[in-house]
Amino acid sequence: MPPTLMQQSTDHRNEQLWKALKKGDEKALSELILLYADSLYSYGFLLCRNKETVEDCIQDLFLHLWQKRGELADVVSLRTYLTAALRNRITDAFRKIKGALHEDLRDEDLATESSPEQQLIESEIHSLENDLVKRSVEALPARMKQAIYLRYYAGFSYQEIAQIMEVSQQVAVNMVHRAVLKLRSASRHYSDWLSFSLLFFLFS
Amino acid sequence: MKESPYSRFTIDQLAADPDFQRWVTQPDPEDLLFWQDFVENHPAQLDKVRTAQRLVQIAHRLNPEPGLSSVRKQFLHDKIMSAVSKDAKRLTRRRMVWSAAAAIGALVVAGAFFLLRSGAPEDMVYRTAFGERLQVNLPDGSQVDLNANSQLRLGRDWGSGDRHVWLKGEAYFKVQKKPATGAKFTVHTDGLEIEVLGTQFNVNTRTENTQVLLEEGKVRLKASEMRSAPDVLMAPGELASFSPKTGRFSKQQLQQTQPYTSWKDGYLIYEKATIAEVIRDIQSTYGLRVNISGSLLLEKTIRGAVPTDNLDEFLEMVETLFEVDATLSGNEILLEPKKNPKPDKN
Repeated sequence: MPPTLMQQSTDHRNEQLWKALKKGDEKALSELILLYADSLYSYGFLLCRNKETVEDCIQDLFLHLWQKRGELADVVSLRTYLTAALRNRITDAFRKIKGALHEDLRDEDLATESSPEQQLIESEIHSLENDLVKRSVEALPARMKQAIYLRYYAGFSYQEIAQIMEVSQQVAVNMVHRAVLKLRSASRHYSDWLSFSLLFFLFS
Repeated sequence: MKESPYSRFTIDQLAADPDFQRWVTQPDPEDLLFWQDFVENHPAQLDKVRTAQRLVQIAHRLNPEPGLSSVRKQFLHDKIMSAVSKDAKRLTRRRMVWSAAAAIGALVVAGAFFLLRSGAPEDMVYRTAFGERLQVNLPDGSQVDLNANSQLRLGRDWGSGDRHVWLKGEAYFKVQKKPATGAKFTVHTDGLEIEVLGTQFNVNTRTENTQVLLEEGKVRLKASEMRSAPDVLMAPGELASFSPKTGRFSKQQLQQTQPYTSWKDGYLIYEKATIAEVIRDIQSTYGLRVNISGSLLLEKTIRGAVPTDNLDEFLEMVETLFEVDATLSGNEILLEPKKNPKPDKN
């Protein structure tokens, strides 16, 4: 189930768990891991395409939370906080691998290819559209893919996407917007007013 | 016809709407009817709907498949939780390592293996992180102790007939005999097959040569890529060394097997180790890069035991025994000659 659909019910529980974690409750840590491992793993894998790196980073992330539990601040959205923290760790892990010379590692350096398994996943319902969708996905730059994923799969707001990807909200909006334009130029038979209506929404 | 609120949605709002997403990804009959109806009654919205639909498809396609399996998730959870409770116990365990070194008894063999290929999804894979050990009970009753940064893979047809495992890193095996069927147990490493008939042994592929130490029973070694080469039979107490590059074997009889197997108990025993050997162990156990600055005492050898799950203590001992300063930053350790050597006490 996409996270969007289950988000509401977990907000209150999140707050309870975060409080308990700060007080040193191991059960709260355990529940948080089970609650977030899947979505963190999926986003992490989208970032770097390396199972081991993602799992290691998730492990380090939770261990770090535990070790620093006394110093943790309140967070507005725990899901956003954890997703952003994982992204930092994965970026750091790759920076280390690439060495100090690549200080300004960008997301484009992270893997962008879709995995063979992923390429096999076909929606039965819209099989006619699949070729177009597949080509559209492959054509998107890594950062746009992330933004699209965070917005339309993981259900984050633009404000949250901005926080996770460490950009301004306007940049987050633009990334999604540009992805939509690219997608639309790949299928020219759609009328132009569509992009105008989107533009209008995004920039109003 | 009444106007649906969806007709005022933008593409972005539509694609982010959970109900719309459900129609795109896993529609129920009601969804299908609703959206068919919507498009029929708002023909001008068709393009908008299709673009939003495509966005949702793309977003779902971006979600990695398969995701984290429930087995891996549980394993990850357990690893974190065990590290957390170890953390709590650590203080009480400090300083016990040296006395434990004296007490080490019968146990142990250590080895390292190389995994040949990455497993197909159906294969069962056990993996350890740096600084971690894992005891694996195989379905046939055999036991495997997996050292840090190692990987053990079971073929997907495990349990039917002969038993094959693939190893990368280091592990100690206690293999269960199957006298009724005579089913073989084979460990595969890089270029090497270790064929077993009920036995205890250690395999280590971390060193340039793969090392096999046999503690009990009998094993046969085969160079898997050189079928014409004669097999090597091992007797208990023997250490065999195999070069994956040349396919050659050498064997020696050991007086003491503990130094090869003590990792199972959480420490490494050194009888006459040079700093180069200790550095190799820091790298393979903790996953850290070691840099050396200045001239160190390369010939000096040490005796003693160091913990494999407590880096601080490990480094403390290395500092004392080799008279160096060890500085940890990030993933790297810098070793340099002690700046302020303690005055000789006479």
